[in-house]
Amino acid sequence: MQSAVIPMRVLTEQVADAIKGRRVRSGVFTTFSFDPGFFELNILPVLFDQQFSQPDKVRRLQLEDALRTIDHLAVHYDRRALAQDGEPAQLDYRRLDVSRHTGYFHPKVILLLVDEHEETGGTPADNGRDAEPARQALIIGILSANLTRAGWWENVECAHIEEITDRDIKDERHSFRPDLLRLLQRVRESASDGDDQSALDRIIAFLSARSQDNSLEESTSGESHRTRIFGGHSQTALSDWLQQLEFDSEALNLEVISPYFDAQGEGPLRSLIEALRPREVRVCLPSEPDGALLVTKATYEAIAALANTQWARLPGEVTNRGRDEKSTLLAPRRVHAKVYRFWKRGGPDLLLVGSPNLTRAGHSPATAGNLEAAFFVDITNIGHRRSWWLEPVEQAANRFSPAAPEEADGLDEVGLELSLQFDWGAKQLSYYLKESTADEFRVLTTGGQPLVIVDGPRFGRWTRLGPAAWSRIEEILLSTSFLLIEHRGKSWRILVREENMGHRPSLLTQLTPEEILEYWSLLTPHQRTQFLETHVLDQVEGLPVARVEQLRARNTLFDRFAGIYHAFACLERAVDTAIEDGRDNEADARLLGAKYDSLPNLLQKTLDRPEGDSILNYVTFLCAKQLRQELSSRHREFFRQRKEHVQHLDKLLDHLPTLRNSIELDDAQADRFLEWYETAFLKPASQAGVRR
Amino acid sequence: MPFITLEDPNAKIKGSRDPLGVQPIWSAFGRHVVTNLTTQSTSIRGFTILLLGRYFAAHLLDRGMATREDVLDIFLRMEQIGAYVRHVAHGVTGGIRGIERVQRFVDEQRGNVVIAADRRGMILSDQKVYGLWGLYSVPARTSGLIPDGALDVMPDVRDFVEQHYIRRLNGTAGKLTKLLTDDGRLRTNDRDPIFAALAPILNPQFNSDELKFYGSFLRDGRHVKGATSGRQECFRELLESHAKLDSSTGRAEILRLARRARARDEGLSVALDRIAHLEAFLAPTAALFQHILGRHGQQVASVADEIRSVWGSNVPNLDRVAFGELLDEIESTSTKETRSAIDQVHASLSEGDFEGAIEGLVSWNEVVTKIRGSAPWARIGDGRRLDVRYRGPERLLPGTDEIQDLWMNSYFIDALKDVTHQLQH
Repeated sequence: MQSAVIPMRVLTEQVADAIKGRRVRSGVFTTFSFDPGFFELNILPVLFDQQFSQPDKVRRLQLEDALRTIDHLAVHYDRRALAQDGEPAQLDYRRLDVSRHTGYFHPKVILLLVDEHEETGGTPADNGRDAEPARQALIIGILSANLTRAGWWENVECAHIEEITDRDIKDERHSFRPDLLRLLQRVRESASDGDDQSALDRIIAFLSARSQDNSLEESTSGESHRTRIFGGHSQTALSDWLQQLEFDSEALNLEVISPYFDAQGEGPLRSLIEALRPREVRVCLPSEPDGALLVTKATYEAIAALANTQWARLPGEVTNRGRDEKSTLLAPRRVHAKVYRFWKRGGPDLLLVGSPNLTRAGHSPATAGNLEAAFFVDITNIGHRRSWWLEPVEQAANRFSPAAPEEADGLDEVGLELSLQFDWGAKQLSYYLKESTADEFRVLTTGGQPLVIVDGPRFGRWTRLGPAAWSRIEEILLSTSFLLIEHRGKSWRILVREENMGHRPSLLTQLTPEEILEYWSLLTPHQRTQFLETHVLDQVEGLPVARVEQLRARNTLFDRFAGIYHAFACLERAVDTAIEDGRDNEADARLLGAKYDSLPNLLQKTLDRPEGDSILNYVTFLCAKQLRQELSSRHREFFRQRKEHVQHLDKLLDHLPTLRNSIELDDAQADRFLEWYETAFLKPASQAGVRR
Repeated sequence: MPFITLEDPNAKIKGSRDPLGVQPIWSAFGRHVVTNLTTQSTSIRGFTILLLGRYFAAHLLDRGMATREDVLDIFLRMEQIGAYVRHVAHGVTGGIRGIERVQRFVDEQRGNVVIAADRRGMILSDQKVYGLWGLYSVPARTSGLIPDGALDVMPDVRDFVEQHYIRRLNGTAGKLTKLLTDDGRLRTNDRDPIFAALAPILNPQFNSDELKFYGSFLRDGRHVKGATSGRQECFRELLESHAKLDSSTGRAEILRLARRARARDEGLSVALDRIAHLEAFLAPTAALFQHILGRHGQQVASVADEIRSVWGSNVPNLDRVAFGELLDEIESTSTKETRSAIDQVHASLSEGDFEGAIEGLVSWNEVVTKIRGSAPWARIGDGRRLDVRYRGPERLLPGTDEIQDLWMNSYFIDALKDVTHQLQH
């Protein structure tokens, strides 16, 4: 079995296993190519220890909620590499489009800062509250997989995952810590000045302050060759860097897996061989399912001509789609892994896994070519059988690629280093241009309809566009986050960054006021999932997820007074907790936002429903007013920073007298009674012995 | 440890990228003949475990031994226990969600496996979504086996579960409920009373009462609300007598079944005919679109010539009149624009106008991607050259012989065959 020789795993399972159910506080994903829709629906759920529904619409709503528990989350991707089959973004995280002048932004890295469980020394989560910062750990994954469906689900990729624990919990030193800091600094520099990089900053701060500081000589990791990270080194190309590791490479075999090669010649393979002097070399030959080769004739011949070097292939067992007989009838999976393996029978087995292709740009120092990332790991003692991974290609090659296939094939040609940002809270559209251009650029819908012309654009800072620009874009952004840019005859897609997503109208809008109140009172994620499944009315393969007639016919507590009081108490608790934990975005979305469960949404819907019970409507508004008073007295700063949105809430609450007047009571004393009632209701409770 | 990635099991469940948005279309047509099964819910014993999990959750809640918050955890533990019993006692591998971890855990934990509602026990990275709870609940609800919500089974189903499963636990029900409420371990041999009691219950063979029960609810869809009475049963009988249950559906088979159905249920016959007309179009269309994605930079006319050289003057089995009658239903599952684009491609392929078909396919993809808020995968650019933005692996066109019987979409008929096949043995 080849699986006894080559360690093989499902990527999402490995990432989930690495998280071990711990709460993710900050996360950074870096990638070359990016499919936001796939990332949101199929990678983000791995970060949470909860049930997600199968229908996409429900899952997005669940994720909208779940993301409120993460302090900072960002994806850094090369702006030239939005996946062509990608679907738009709809959720709240930072999408930082970055670029490099010398090559591609190419590292595929996962960084997840997680709270440690109590038993390992972390601070206990007390009913969701965690007033003290918990002890944390940093999960570091370096892969060859882009944040796309092909990368995470389909291709043959490679990965390695490590963890750095808080030094107070474990006195463990990590030989790759300085490398990682260097790499993260490079990632940081790839973004524009003024980009909010809180997620990355939080991770760098953890590495700097909470992980064990050490020099390489002090490493105690136990393996013969220390784990290191390539990437971010200013002056060192990959072959030089490997040479500096000073492992005895001369007696070792070298195996190279890379999907891309330079168009002419053997590329960096010669320098790799000269630096390390391996005994025998096998290089994986990339090909189409029909046998056509994905290298040029010149490259094929140059590599074949190198001494003790031959072309080879991964066995079918690795590339097949599945393990049953039927899978052999399907087209094999695409090999996109980048692996450099140094090994010999009875000797060491050393792997470099990550993003560098066998190209000059991939092997360059960080100041030239691409920015890459790869783990160098000693797997000698993992207990697998030591043998060749690649099998030599026996038959003669004849169908070559006329030009060298590249990772960027099929991607848009980007004409400007331009980012667009829409702030849902302030309703503002801004752009950031990294370098000056004398010519205008135009913003269009993906269907080609013109939206804005920016004449004489400014550069080096975020520049706001006028209301005429954002009013239409606001409407468009509800269905897609992609827009088209035209400049000097070139046109390309851009993924709009969205800020203050708590104010973006929710994906779910049809809840009644009672249903919003009921939703506030649900305690567990599982209860909320069930609620959403029965309200979104999605389908799975043409079958309804829930039965509509039962849903509409039911009676709940939430059209009675007790339910209203209970729901508002739950909301108050949730907002208090969020503000105290520093999750202001969550508090903002619930109290002032435009989500399906936001307070302004409830109030507006109550007003918009003429047939509603006038007393219940009145009590709902009274509860809202009381909540606003209570919270604003406890969280003055939070309210002060959000004046505009608080004003919007207050405007809604101004309807309270109208609702009071709409109550028809027979008694002549009714008006006096309601006046007394309202005053008593809104008066802060001061019962002896009861404190918050 | 560094690793090479395996294909993610979710890739199969989520299907292909569907650039032409055909899945909702063929699903709608398939639902006229198979009313309750999905492509992923084909293991009858999977349904047995679903019923047991929900039954025990309700039972424990009623007795105050669990809270509503525990319901899902109880279910997940039952799924794990069921998977180990099916695999170790009966050697089952196909049809068990999470079989790879099940095999690994049995091996690594030397037959004393962890049953837990957290990551220690999970047999899938996302057992809650891609296990039985996520994939079997909807078809079970449609089949009339379970009510809405997370708890319990339908009243008549509860009687069956108690009589045929709970009674056979032979006094181990207490031990099983303890394992379902608290995490623990299961020894995967007969010395473990839970394992020994469940092994005969989860036998791949069904007793006569089970045949009747699952035959009625799952195979024949007799309890599906709003379904035409007896139609699925009639279709199943035809499948048993005139189709191969252990192989995938093909065009010749569907036409044969439609003919046979005419005497018994005209509506069924019409529904099968409509599926045949739809698939005669969808299958070659999908192959053609895949093919043009590998033709970046080439002129539309030269790609059309290439297609003509393989397929001849036109695509076989296309009937303009019959297809026209499908368009209203196609529109009801998509949009007016999609209907129009589909009709244009059908007309072009019928006439052998492959240039028109390529243009139509590009427009069709543009309509579908616009609805999704994404960008078209291909355009026709300057000089009428294909500007392909998403370049998948190159796919060769199927040959003339192949295209005659080309069949790509299941219409849930394979799921019905599978369930029927299990109940035959």
